[in-house]
Amino acid sequence: MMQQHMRRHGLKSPAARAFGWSLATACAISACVLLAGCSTTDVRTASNAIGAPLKARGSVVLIAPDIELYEVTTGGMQEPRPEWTEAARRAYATAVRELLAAHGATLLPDFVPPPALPPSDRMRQLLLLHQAVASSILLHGKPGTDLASKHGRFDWTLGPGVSVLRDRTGADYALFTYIRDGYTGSGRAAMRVVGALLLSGDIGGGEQVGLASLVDLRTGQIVWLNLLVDETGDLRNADGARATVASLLKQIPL
Amino acid sequence: MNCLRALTLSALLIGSTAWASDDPVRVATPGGRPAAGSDEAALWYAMDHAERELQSSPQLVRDPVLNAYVRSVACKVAADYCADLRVYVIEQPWFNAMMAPNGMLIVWTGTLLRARNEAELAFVIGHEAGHYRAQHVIQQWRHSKNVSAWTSVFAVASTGAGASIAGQVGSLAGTAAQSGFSREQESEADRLGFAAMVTRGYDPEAAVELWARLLREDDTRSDGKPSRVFSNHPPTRERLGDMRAQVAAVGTHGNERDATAYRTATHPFLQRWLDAELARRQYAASILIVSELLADAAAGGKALLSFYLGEAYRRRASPSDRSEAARWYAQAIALPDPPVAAWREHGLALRDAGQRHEAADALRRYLDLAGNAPDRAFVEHDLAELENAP
Repeated sequence: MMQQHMRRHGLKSPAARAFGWSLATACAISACVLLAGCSTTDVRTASNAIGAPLKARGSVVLIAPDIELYEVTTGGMQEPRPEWTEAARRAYATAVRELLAAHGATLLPDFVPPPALPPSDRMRQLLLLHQAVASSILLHGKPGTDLASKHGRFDWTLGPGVSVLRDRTGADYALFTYIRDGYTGSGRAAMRVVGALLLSGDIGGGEQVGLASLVDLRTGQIVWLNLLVDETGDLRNADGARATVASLLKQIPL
Repeated sequence: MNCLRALTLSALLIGSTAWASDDPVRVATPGGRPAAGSDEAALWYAMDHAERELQSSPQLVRDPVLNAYVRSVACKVAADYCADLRVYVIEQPWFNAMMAPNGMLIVWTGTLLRARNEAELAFVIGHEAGHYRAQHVIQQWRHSKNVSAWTSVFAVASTGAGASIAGQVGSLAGTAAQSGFSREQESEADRLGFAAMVTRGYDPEAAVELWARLLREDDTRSDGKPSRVFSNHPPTRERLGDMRAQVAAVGTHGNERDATAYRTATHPFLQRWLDAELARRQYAASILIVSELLADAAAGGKALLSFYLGEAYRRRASPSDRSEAARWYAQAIALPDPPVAAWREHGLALRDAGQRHEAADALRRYLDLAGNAPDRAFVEHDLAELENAP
């Protein structure tokens, strides 16, 4: 499991928004601190021998996305929302298909890892390895934490063991996704208004954290990776999923 | 300013109405499941996910015989809830057992090492099944949700009014309320655990003995910090008092302990669990645990435990520990069926004490018995040094 970010920002639910607006308007205090959604992406692309960004050529398989949606309770605890999660997994996969089709990419049928694989199973180990490597990329991707041995290059690989996935899917590239998303209930939305007014600051509502990576299944190389932190994204419907996918798959070299 | 005051008030009002609701828990029945869309269903969903991960864990003990035994004990004490529980034995050398709200029951191997008989294990599982039956997790979740809601209202309001320290104290209280079950809930689970034991004819005194043993172990800690061993169930003296009172309240009860069945089921794993116990590097605790196991062991298990007691002393390596270790190795090889490694350690201890001929004999005995042990070349080297020394 990749570690979950603890920051939470952004009002999500329509009810929350309405409540936030009415209070803020009533008090004639600007609520932009509450409602202005902010989305940041952090795209990394591997480069070839002469330093030019790599271009992915070949078929792509979407690995079943690891998505969980939560409701952020008034006190800031996260309660899982299975029905939201189910909807998000479907909407996300559909939106990815749309976007990659628009890129002209060849998309193979999605790959869903079999459940309850034994600990020694190579497929399970590969999926865990991807989590570990992606975590390392994020850990060593901030100024001051970069690894000297990388010489400033985005140079990460899962190794030749990715062949188990290539043999299984026939794809040249695998697209991995990890998304955790929290949505405020009305309780916390009200708290945020109070917090903003009394503390001149934002106590946080919900936040979308997403990670996507494209792995070359012939070599294991991580060709491209993006980290998305979004205060306003909503994966529960088709439009929201399209917006999230557009941000998350930004500059995917397909 | 009026506006701010009104907002603070409205926030507190919302806090006391919308957020502090304490939904009644559903009526527990065997086979019962949470209502779709409820917060309890959300918790089950999260736990089902965790359970699938657990099923692929390398730490899951998959031995069918041990699993069948622990499950049989669980079914005795969980009775009509047996079919709702899924028992997982996890390779972890600390004392712990956990009950997830979806029926995933986890018993760590450190618990199986520390218990002496089936009655003690029955209490541990009966207590956990009690948490399940009484739906403590969902209660605790709702309580935490409410407490943290209250404390954030308190923190926000009082910080805004310039009383930040009071706000922080509120947050701390909220954090404390989230750390595990309440004393009342533990007590209720104990009561259900005792009731289940008594119904099956087990001796409830066994549970008190287990708890007292855990307290003795916790007393060996020198740093005074709360033990990770007991992260979920701190072995407090007041809890021991509560348990004694509950046993007294039980009245007449059976005296079944079934130490033989327990020993038969766990003995094949003893060596593995003792290795894991020593690897914790809590040698004062290990010395106590192994000494007490040795005192309670049947004749057939004493050689193995004597050897591990020697190992605990040797690895701690305080000034007098070397001679203590030597004494226990010597006892181990004098008893029937010592572990092969006892001959090696006994030999090396004799060598260090200057008894070279006896040392060489012991090392030869080790090499005879050890087959292709990975350290064979090292011991051959030690033996050659002893034989060739002037």
